[in-house]
Amino acid sequence: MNSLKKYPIIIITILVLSNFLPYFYDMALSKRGNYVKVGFSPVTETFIKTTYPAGASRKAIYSTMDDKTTFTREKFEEFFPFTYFSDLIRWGTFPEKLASFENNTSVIMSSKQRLYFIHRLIAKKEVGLYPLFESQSKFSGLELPEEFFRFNNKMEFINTTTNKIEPKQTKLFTKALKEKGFSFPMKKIFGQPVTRKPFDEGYFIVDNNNKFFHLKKQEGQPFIKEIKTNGIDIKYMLVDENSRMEFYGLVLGENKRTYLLMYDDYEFVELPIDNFDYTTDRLYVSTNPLYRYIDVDSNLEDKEVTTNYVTNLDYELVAKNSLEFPYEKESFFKKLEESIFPFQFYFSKKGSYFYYPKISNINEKAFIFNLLIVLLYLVYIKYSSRRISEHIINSILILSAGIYALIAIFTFARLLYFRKKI
Amino acid sequence: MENIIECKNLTHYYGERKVFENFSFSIPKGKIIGLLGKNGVGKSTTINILMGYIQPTSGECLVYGEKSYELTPKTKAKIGLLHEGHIQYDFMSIEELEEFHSAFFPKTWKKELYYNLVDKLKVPYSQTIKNLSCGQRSQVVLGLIFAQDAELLILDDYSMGLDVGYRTLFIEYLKEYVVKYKKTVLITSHIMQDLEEIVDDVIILDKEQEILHSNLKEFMNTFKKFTIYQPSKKINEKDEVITNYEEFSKYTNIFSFKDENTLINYLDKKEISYEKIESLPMDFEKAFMGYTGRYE
Amino acid sequence: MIKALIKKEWKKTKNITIFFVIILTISLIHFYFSLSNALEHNAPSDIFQDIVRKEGTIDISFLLYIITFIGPLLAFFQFSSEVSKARLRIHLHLPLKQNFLIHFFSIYGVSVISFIFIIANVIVFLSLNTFFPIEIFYAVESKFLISYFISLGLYLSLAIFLINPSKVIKIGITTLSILTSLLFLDHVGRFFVGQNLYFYFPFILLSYYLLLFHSFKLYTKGYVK
Repeated sequence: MNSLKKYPIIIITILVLSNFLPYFYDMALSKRGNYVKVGFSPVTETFIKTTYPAGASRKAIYSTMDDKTTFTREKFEEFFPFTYFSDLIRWGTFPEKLASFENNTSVIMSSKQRLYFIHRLIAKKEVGLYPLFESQSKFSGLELPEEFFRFNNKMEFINTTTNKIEPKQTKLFTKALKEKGFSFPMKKIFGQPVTRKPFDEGYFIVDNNNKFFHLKKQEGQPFIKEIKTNGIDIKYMLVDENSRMEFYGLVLGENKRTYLLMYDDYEFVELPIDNFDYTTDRLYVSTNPLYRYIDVDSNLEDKEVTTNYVTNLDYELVAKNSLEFPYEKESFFKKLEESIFPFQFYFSKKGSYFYYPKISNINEKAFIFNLLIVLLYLVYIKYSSRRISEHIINSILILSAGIYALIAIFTFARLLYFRKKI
Repeated sequence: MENIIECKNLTHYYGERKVFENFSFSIPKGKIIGLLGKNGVGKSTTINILMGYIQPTSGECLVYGEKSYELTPKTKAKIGLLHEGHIQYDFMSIEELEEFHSAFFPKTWKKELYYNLVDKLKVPYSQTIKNLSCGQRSQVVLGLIFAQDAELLILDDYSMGLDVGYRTLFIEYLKEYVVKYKKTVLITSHIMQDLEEIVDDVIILDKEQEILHSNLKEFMNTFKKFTIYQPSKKINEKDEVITNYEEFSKYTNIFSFKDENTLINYLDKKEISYEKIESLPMDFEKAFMGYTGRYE
Repeated sequence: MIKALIKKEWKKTKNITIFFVIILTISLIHFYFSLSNALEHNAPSDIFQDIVRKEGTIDISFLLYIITFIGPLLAFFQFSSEVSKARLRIHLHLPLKQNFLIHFFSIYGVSVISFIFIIANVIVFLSLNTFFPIEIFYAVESKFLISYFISLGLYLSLAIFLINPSKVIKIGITTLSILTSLLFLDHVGRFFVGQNLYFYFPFILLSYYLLLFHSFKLYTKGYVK
């Protein structure tokens, strides 16, 4: 039992080293690849690429997807009039095809909306206190109310001055929710509890029976509506109050499908994207007068993939493009890395609030290297007059975890001295 | 007689370096044993094995029948240790040190023995140990050992850092105490004259020689130094007659457990002629040096 | 006997413990009054929003540093005098079971750190509860708890560093502590960061503790200064 006591610290060392050694190796030796952005031009109705080369030169290269034709920056901007309209109008090069917008830039501006989803939004745990704005305020601009609410077995309002429960509001809203069929306690709540927005749509809440509700305060009174989800299990909703008032926000289902919740009758419109993993991927939704763009960035184990979807105003797919970016160019150092490091351990997801252990980047090639190290290790054991039978566990560890295990064992198992054979 | 300490076939290596091999000795109850040897022969190693800070590479050391590194609390209470350098908690005061140690020996602690010694220092009891001189500290530590009333005392180099005054005082108090209370003692030191006054038996460790375990008086009576002048040839080996020798230009000193006649016959057999042979008296220190050999 | 042992540990660590208690008290008083001042000079709802949305107003960073550093400083004062001139041997020779003697050091250290942490928590709870609902306390507590675990980890690491004679292990444990802290402190400073970390901390602390225990055992197996 005595000799087993050192293994917990050895295992921790292995895991920690398997996080940091590849990381330091990468930092020292990896090269940054080119950074590429892709946009769909409403003028050419094709995808246009902007490449920011790696290295010192910051000069962007604008081209077609096949790289056969390159453009000047001025030409590039002509392909995206909804973005660069102020330059194009000044230059007099606003595209003929979309001339109707040249004198109607307010339409362009009012058509703009952008949503950005990143997985850490889901993982984030909130404090559990929220302000309920008056959404029909006679004053322009939203003001923070005097009470914040929380959900337990009721919807409780707490006066921020006295730090005491406001019984009237609590009773009013709790009763109103119950009357609409709300079942306490709530499971999830989504909203934008900030004043920097044009107006307030309150909160969208999943109750204890997975029913979905819309809640806001209008003239001091509760507005509550149950939203039919048609079997969609709501994982997350990104609420975005925008003057366009087309949709309340982006909804992610447990089924890994994405939707927009429309103002019109609370309809769920599914976005025509596939393979969106909300635990790892980023999603951007943007709008202009003619199209909807949905861009998905996925971080896979060995590469990054960007997929661009373009839909019409009815969210029907019109165009799609996918680009892969392997993390590093094939190089000697990359091959060496694959041979030395058998795996990488992640104890935190970047950007996430929850830590979960993950072992990835398993390199089969490295196990040959591990075998070599085990043999060298056994030679050392024999040479330093130790019994091989006492080092079976160490050998298995080195075979599995290679160089990480070797460093850990030599650090903590006190092997760096020779022992006289008795 | 009951053996309080029994060490059998002790072998110890530091890495590849051998300290000693198959070293056995035992210490009976009531004896005062001096463990002697030059630097690097394994005295500290032996003491540390006995004190339980090292497990020997092979062999075993039993103290009161228990492995020295796995003593029960009851046995630990019977052993008083003096660590090299009179180490104690120097952040404590004289008073606090006594209070601390006495808590562990509620039934046997003899407070008066501690303060008898400490009072002689004529320093306030609130004085911290780190502010005492080496000599003063040695007295405090000795007081702790006396007060503990241990049956077995293991004193590792009691003389380190002490001037002749404090050394003499230490030995005087120790002798009076161990004789009066019939304690068993294992003591190490480099100061032979002090040990000569107090020990019953000696164990001499040496790299070249066999380990010697003998009654001190017997050793002094049987181990002799002979000087032969102008020897005709060199003595090339040590054997059962010649335990050790020192060669100089005009004479050679021979150390032996044999009597003069045996030596003379031996030299005749070896065809070594000489002008004169003399037997000279030795004190313990010289006898020790004779046994272990000078540094070359 | 146990009282004597406690007294000895207290004697070694009295100054640093009192120092921490004093600066903690001052920080907690400052904490309370800064909250009350903020609420006096700003609209309470703005304060709530600042805390909930931006993790502002409630500045406990100084408290977090105090809790974090209690561990290693306590370890330093507890163990450095035991290790110098191998005084640990005196402790190990006391007439008590050896394993108990070894565990005792850590029991004392962990108890002191925990006691100070609990008192600090109680005061933070009482302060926050005066002005805010309990949810705010839970959020603040989530930062506090990580500091506590890190403090324990640093206590054990420094103890290992001081007690274990092997230079390789000293370097190893220092590097491991730094890297492990970096691994866990990826998002330090945010509410509820790493709540499910609490599951892993005990295993890590236990591993450190086993190495510490083994380091003490070296004093009976072959390490002698």
